[in-house]
Amino acid sequence: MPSFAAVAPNGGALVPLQQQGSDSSDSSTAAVLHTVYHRVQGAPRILVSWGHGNCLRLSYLQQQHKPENESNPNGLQPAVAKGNGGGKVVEIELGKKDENQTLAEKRRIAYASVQAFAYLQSQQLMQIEAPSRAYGTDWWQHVLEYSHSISSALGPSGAPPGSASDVSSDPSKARLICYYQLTTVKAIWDFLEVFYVDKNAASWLPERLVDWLASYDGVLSSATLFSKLANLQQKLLNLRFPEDDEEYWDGIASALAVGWLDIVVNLLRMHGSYQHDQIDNRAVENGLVETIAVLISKMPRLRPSLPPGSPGQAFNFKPEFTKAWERWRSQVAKLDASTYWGECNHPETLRGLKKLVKILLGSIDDLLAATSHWIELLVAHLLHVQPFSKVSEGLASYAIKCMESRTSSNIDESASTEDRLQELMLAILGDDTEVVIAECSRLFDPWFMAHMIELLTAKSKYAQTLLREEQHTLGGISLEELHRLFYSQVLSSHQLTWQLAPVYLSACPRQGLGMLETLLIKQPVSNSDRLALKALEVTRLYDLKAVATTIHRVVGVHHWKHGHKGAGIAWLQQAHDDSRLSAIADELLASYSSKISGCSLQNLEGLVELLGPELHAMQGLSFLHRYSEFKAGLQAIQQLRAKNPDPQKLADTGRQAADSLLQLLKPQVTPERFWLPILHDSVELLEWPEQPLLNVSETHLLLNRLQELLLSKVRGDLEGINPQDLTRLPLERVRLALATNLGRAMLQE
Amino acid sequence: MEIWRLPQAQYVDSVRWLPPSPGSPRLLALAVWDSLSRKPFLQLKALEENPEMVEQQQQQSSSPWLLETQNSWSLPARSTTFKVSPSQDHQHTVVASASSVGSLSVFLLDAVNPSADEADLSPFTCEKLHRGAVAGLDIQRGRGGAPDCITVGIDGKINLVKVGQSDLQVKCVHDNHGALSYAAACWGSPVEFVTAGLGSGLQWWDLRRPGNAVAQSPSKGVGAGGIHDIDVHPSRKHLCVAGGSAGSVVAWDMRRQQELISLAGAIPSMGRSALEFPIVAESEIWEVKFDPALYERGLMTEVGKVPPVFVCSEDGILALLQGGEAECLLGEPCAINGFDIDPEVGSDIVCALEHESILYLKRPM
Repeated sequence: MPSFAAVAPNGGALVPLQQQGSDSSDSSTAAVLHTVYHRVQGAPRILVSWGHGNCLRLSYLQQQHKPENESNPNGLQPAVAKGNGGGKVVEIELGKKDENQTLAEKRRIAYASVQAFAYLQSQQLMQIEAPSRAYGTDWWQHVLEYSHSISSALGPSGAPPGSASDVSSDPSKARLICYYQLTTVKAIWDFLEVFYVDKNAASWLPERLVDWLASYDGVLSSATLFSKLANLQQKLLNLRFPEDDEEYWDGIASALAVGWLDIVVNLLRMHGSYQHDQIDNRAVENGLVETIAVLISKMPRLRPSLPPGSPGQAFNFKPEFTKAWERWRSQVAKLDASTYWGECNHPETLRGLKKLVKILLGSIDDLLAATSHWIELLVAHLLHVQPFSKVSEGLASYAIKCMESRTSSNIDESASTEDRLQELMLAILGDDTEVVIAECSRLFDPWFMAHMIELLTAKSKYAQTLLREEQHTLGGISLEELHRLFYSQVLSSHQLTWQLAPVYLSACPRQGLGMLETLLIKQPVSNSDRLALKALEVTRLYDLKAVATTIHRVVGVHHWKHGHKGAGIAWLQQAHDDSRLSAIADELLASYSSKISGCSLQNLEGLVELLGPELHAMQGLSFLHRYSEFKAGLQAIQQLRAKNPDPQKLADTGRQAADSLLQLLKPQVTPERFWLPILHDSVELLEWPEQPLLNVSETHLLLNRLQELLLSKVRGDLEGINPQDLTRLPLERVRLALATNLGRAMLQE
Repeated sequence: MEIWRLPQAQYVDSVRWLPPSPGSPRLLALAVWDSLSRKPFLQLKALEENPEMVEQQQQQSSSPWLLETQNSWSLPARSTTFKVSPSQDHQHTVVASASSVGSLSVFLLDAVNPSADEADLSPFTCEKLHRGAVAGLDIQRGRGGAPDCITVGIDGKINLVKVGQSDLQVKCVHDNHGALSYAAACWGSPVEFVTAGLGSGLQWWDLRRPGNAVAQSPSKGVGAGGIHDIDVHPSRKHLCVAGGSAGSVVAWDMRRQQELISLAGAIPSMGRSALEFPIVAESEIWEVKFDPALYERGLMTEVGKVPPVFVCSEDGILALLQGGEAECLLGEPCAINGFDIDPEVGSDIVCALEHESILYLKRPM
């Protein structure tokens, strides 16, 4: 059995690998992103995961305690295997560079289309809520609006070379490729719109096809009238008498066959007989050319209107059109039988003009010769052979006939994508929805699939059941949801488009919500607060409170870990994470009591204020709040004493501090392990020089607390208290102060 | 009012007008992030009229305005806050970008012809100015002629950075070691500035009185996320305005420090119902700015009222708050991450949109 690398191109790579630098001999050497120090035992490990976009992230964990020159059985690049650092992480960019250039363009389309999609969804909701306007009657008009906005997002429409609205005169080669890819998508989009959405189109379908062909003939295949006319345009620049050239007449005939009348008239007026020095000798010839040109510019067309300045006469009402067309046809027939043909001395002109007349009279052979693609032939038939037929039915069989007559004469081998395109267009013509879906998913990306489903379901009941029915084989979701989920996945994978995904996920009834939650939770919110706030905005819009809590908690813990205490508390508070907040309160107090950190009283105050009044009920935090009050009181006393104030004010301040002390030492307020530093701080109040601040019962309370502490010390279960604190802050000192105060208080009473 | 969208194919972190210079096109400074190379850049772009527009008026795809890249320099790290200011001597334009990794980069561009500088122009960079992201930055023409930057961070530090001829001199004004986080800063005078942050509310600082803030706004907490941007009125230096979470916009007058005036949104601690002032946006207010058009034209609003303020929000709103009412100028389908008003007339506004584009808005004056 041959190895995989031997048969596959690119040396076994399924996806082309981007070259990191041209000078690098080893094409796959990637820069080391992180170095990992690990203690994972056992054999070396490789972890593969997706980075963002097209990045593949490889983590290599080297074996512990092994010499580095050990052979590397995986053949991984030396950048990873080198060194004793333990492990390295590299990223490899997959995909081709030129593919990436269109990524920005794809994102632009994604941004532009999300709005139209969201608007359509809201329209649908409104219709369900207020079904006064019946569903099927004007729903397709909403979809038509949606289709127009998506189509305009896909870029400008094309036009055949030489026509008035032709703008692609000198596209560079690079732009031409981009142009081609884009317009294939746009061509099929508009084609779908004609057949699946626009109900008005049915009455003037042949003309819709003429317009469509004029815009997109160039993308159908490499050998169409588009390229033929483009070549002719180049050639005409250097020709004085184009009528001598066979190609000139071929070009006019082709343009006439598919109804691009403005090009026909323009080309006819380039006829050499119009030139000043020629007109005398070629009066009859010129008369014939002009007659044809005038006849063509009077051709009746069954359509609401024509673009301004373009030849032809528009008729919206069918009987009127029929009458006008028959009259016009008889004029053409009269011209065909005219005697002036005999006086025409220029054989090429005679032959060319006769061919044009035959096309106008609907000669099958000439139409066949004038067109190259089967769609062109189909359009020519509809225009010149069957202008009155109701074409909506049997169009597909008609198209197949055109196709068959083409394939016999068409020698060119068409490429496989073109084949697919033919299949798809045939399926659209034949209203064969299953084939349309299958071919589209083969040809186009998830963006197209997610958006085109709206077109298919606009008015076709069959497509609605087909696409909206929940299918057991798809895990209980419908095809519609499946394609939306696919596209959401694509959007989610890029950090610039993930915010679009919720719009599509919210239109997925079964699995949308779950995927939305996953998407939000997986955002790297701890990297930036801004990203976190953007994710929170999504949770607000879709009412995902649990996810919001998780995000708040993740960000809060991140900030706390990195020493941003205030930010950490604020975020955790939003998460209502009581257990973490009380743990934080304990930690804050510990660091504050030990005075190791530079956290000043003022900062602590800010933190306590940040915690807010509503959280005072929470044990650890209410304690923190009161403790800060107590500390503030003590500091105020020190400041007052330094300034030699009046004794009454001093006593008041002392009493306030004593009150907060008693509040702190009430049962269930302060954790036992903080009693010791608090009691120690209270010594100053107990030894108040002027008068005893605490009365007998209050001193008893303090004594009780001290007694409990002593008992715990004897039992040896002073949980959480640092033994060093006990030696540093001797209990005896506190006991002495308490006893003194008790004595003074008793005396005073 | 006319609006044009200018797609950039790169994420625009921030956009600012450059001070006008005679003879050169109008320039914009952009802090962009390229998703493909994952590198941040500072770009100078000229806003010019599209010459093709005259010929092809029916072409819907082409915009009448073009943004032509004049110059591009790579930034050491992705920009979180970005400011532009002319220098005292009007010879340079100072462009400063503070980053998500705590660094500050300052470019000194030639004021007459900013785009003429070589591509290898390297900025003055100060690494590790803050632990974590720099959240707020403001530049002003400093006392000694050299521009002064104030930077504040989530780490609770306030730094004063003097831009010298060849380097940056950093002085730490205040450091609370992360107890409180700062989110925004704005100069009020050559020696005074305002900060806003989590748990600190709005604070007024005076460099002549080091240590602590000289004034403190009454309400400190505005919810998680807090305040994102502040602006001091250019002529009434005692008045500042701040925007933050839940669409809240407040004004603070230094002459009445005990009061915060709500302009939009709802601040729970104010004890007033949300119905008393308009709800412009329900989401984060990313930037606020006093309308420069009024004082540029010598017009003043009534005494005692807050002058008009522009705000932009995460839910795509650009609005002008004026006299208790909100005039909505834009309602975009994506976030407006920042905006700037042209310093000359105040009629041209550029917005940085989430969807990798710049929005150019011309309002009738």
